[in-house]
Amino acid sequence: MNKKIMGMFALLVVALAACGYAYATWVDTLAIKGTVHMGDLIVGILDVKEADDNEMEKYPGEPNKWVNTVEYDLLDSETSVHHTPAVTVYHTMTVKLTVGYPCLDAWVVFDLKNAGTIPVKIKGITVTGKDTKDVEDLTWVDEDTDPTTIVGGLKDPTGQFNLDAIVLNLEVWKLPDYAGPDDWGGKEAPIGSQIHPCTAVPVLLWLNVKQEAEECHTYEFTITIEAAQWNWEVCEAP
Amino acid sequence: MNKRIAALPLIIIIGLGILGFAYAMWKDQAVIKGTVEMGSLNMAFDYVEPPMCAEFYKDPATGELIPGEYEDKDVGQQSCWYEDYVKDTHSGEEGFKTLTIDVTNAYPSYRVHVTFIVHNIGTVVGYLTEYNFEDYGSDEPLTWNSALMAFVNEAGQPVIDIEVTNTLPIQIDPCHSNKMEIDMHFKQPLLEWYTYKFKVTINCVNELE
Repeated sequence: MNKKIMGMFALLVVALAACGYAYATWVDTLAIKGTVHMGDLIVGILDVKEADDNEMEKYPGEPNKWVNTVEYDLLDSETSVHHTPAVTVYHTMTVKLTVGYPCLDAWVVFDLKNAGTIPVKIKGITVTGKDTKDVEDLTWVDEDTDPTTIVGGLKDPTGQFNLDAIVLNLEVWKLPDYAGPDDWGGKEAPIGSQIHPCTAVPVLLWLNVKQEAEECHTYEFTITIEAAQWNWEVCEAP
Repeated sequence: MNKRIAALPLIIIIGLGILGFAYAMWKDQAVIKGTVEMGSLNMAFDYVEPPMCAEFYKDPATGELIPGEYEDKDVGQQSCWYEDYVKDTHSGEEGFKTLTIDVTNAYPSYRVHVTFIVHNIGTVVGYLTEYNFEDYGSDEPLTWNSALMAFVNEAGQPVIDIEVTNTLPIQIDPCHSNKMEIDMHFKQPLLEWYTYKFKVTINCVNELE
């Protein structure tokens, strides 16, 4: 028994010696302190450059026509905190034609602004519509079948003369070389194109009222421009 | 059965993974809400001022048209009025869609001039392109021949020549009106002791071809 007690004491001494050796080592540390300042993604309408129709200049030499007006408003503002000075964009624009009639062309050119800090890509544009008098949904018809463009019409189940007739033609284009009301430059397909931070690109909304549009009716349409982080297609799932 | 139940959670996980990927991207949107309020194309005869019709004859000596009948006779009678009341729901303006003309006891070379006002009671610009003429109640109805600009009998002979004195098409803006005129000249084949009854309506378009 005494031998066992002696042996345990010896073991304890050896163990403590081993620990003492470990703590006695000279040590030093290197720390990496990381900070990720996240950017923000804000895309909206900065301002409207022009809103007009073709009543005045369609038929040179004829008496002018003064019946329709193109009205617009910007709603749902958001201010980017990353810009100096701060930039305010609007997520909704209302456009109203007060007296529409067949063959009337109307257009709005507005600045689509990337008010955030990372590049964005226009991911998609959707168009929906409604005939509020008949309480009918209008169907979007992609007339050029190009997935990067918005060129088509809204089909009314009951037009002025025929069933399933297009009552409104709509087009959306980027105008990268826009220089003013009389100088639009070339048109580019909007979907898939990029807008860099702090950059605005002029965008054209073109509207043409067709013969099938019904008298005294009110047509509503909604165009949703969806922009996503530019690399969303190659981004891995979380 | 147990294998199917065991596979369900796997499917759910894959499904959520796909959704997670879709929702994971940063995105923003701009929305354009458009409204197109359509106007109305509505051209009508004037509500306020009635039509006027008057007799004329051509002076054999000078060829001038002189009001009344030759040698102050009182043989033919004519009357005109509007029918088919209409009110535009947009503008609230009123008018009539039909001009009616009755001529009794006419004779060869008898002339009737009808003046009237065409009013754009709609909300969009319109072009008056032409008139529609119709014999609406005669015992032996005449047929309108637009090429001859005349009512013709069954034999195709012009019985009444019509002259539209205004140049058509003519643009009339909303809430505006134009005074117009048509002249009727009765010819040899017309019937004796007879009342001719005509209706005149308007053709209009919002844009010319």
